[in-house]
Amino acid sequence: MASSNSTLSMNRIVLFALYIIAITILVYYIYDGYDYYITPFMERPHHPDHQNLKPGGIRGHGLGIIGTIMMLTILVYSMRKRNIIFSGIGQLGSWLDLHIFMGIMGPLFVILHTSLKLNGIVAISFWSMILVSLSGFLGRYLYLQIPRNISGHEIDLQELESTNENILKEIEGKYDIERSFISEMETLIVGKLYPDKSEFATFFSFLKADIFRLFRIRNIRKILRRSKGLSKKQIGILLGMMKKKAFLHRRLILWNNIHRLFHYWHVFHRPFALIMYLIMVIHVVLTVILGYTWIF
Amino acid sequence: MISKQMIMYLIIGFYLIGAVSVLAQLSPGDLSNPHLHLEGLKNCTKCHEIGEKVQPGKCLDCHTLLKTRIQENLGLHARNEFKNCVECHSDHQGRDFDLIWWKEGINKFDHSKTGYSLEGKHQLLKCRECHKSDNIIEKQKYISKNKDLNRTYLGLDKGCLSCHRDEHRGQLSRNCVKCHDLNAWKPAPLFDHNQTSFSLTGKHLSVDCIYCHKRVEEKTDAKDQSYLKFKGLKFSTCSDCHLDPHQGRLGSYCKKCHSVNSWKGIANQDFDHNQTRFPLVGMHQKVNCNECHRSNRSLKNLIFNRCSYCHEDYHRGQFSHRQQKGDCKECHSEEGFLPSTFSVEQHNVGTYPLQGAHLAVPCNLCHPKSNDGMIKFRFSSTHCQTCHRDPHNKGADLYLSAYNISYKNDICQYCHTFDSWSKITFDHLKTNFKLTGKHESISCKSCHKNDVPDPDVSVILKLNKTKCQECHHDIHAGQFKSLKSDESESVNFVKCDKCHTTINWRASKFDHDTHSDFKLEGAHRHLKCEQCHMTVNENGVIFVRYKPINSSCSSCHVKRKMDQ
Repeated sequence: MASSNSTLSMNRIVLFALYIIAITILVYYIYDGYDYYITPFMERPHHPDHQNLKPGGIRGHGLGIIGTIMMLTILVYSMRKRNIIFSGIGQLGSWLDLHIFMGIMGPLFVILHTSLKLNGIVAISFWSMILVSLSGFLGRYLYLQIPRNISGHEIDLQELESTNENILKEIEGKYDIERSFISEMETLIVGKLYPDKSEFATFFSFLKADIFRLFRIRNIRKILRRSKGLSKKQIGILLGMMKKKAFLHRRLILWNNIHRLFHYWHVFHRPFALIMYLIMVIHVVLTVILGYTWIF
Repeated sequence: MISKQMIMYLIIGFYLIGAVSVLAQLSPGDLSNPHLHLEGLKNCTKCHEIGEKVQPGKCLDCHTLLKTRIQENLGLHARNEFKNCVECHSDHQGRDFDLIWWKEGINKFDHSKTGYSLEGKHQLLKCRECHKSDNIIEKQKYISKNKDLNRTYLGLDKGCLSCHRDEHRGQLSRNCVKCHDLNAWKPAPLFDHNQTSFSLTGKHLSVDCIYCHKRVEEKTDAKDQSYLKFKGLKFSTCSDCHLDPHQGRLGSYCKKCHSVNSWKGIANQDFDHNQTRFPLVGMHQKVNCNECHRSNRSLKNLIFNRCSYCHEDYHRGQFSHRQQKGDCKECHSEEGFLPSTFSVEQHNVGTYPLQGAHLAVPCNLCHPKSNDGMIKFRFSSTHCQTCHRDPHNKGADLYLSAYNISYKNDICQYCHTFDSWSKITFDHLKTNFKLTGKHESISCKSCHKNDVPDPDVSVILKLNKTKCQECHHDIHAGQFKSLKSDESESVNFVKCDKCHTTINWRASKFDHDTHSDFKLEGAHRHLKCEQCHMTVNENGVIFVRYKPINSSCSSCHVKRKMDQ
């Protein structure tokens, strides 16, 4: 277990370093090519950096290759998840982190590669990439709503109910708080839950609750301090437990709806990714056929 | 219930429909309008070489005009640095994208890279002032290749006349720079007339071209309807260009007398002026050529039938009324202006014939030089007083009118003649003073001169003097005033004629015996007058004492004894 934790933290350090490196490169290239990127398309061929920064230029083409590789690396997670490759290597969450990193930074490299000049069929690939990337954030959000164990696998409903009960007892025992108050606090944290409503209504309700909680949290702290006379530290610990309890409770109540939503997200996310890859391949093959082989 | 697969298929289907619709747009952007016909998947390889990007060869497959020039190593595109077309002519940038890119800006384009350096005035021109449809030779060749003649930079020839109108209309070489430089058409600094069949020497060097090369009208060109004639000019003889002012009289070989340095200078000193219409005679033989043939005088229409063409009218038109209009030849000859050949006879047929003393008077006494240097030949009148001063100050007029005498001629001639002023024809008997004795021989002026100094009246015609003493001085100092020979006479006057006559002053009428109280007798008769009548000085007046004289003997003799 200890080894697993140290591996996880090492992965995070590597991931952080990757983000820093990628963002630094991007920021530098944006800064360096800013004048070119803000030049109107019709005037760009006359820009002194055009031969370097155009999509087919040395740097532009390189960025495209890097972006493409990163976009292809995204697929590793899907294959790992399905145990097609790298089966048993690393935790699925780490692969997801890599998947997310590539899904965020890859499009940014591709954007720089295009220099925002989007024409023809490859533009469909580009916009698909943008949709896939943005929908990734939504997927990540929905993903978090599905409780998982440390290896990234889903926790079943029974296990979830058990965990929820354990937390409830811990709060009751530690802070001598009645269940009705805990329930009241949960409502303040995650809003009212309507398991009978449609999947999309459920999604918007907890999305709304998550947004408004940011503003309610101060009020909840105030209630805990006045009604229970707890210290600031105790309130912090209690609030953490209550949030964990509330989220677990919400996941329990909305289990079916969230799962359905997540399936729908896949339905949305995958075809765009498919289209993106398909056209990307066409684009790459075409350019290679026509002799645009970068430095090779 | 919509299944997951259905939604996925729907999205993929939607995308595929979209993809098919833009399948033709695999290209990274629209081609520019000139390449519009190359749009579409099947045309990619018309420009793109498989595995080789865009190669110039593909471009030149269409741009055959350029291909030919590159093969001939002509123009900008034949240079190594411009052989990769896409470096300058990027496409897929949109329909309106201008394929021609001037790397350093169109105004900084180094035209020498095209094989034709812009020099002189060419440097100031805008591109399209040369690269325009009008200047493109073999237009059809470019039109057939769909070239827009107002956009292409091809089609010009290095020859000047491919852009410039032939001002000389084919008379001269088509290579303008043999004579002109690129700074201006005028002048043509490279032109050397000595390379032509007619070398310029002498004055020809400084003559403007147009004096020899006349402008010829030609209406065929609306912009320029004339040109200078350079070819076909005759120049074997001077008269091919120059008008012969001698009208052929002196022959056609001008250099016999003239040189190319000037018409005016006679190059040949043996020039015989007598061959001309104006043989040199007299003084004309001595003057320098340029005194007659002056620099400011045209020789072409030289008029010499009148002296005044060369000579200034010294008399300022005083003779212009004459029949010969004052021509010098009437009075002067070519031997010199002086002496004048104008004779007395010629003078006498004029308005004032010369008579008497006038015949002997030098011309310049009557025709003097005035203050402005002009000799006066014309007078307002022929009256004597026009020339002569009237010493009587119109006294003659007064005299004649006083005596009611009419005289039709010049009034001076009433008394005077042309022979001499002093020869008076006036009859003094018409006055109350008859001239006798010495009075007849003395000059009028002796009696008639004005005693009072008066510049206007020097001679007084009418004298109211009849007494001797009124004219003559009494040398006797008034000793005879008291002589009462005539009681009617005033005692203040002396009657000289008692003793004297008008013949002389000798006292021929004096008789000592009767006219004095002392009768001369004896030895007294032989004495000289001055032995008795001594010269005395009384109060500074010296005179001979005639009276009163003491008549006693002792008054003379004693004294004389005593004097002895």
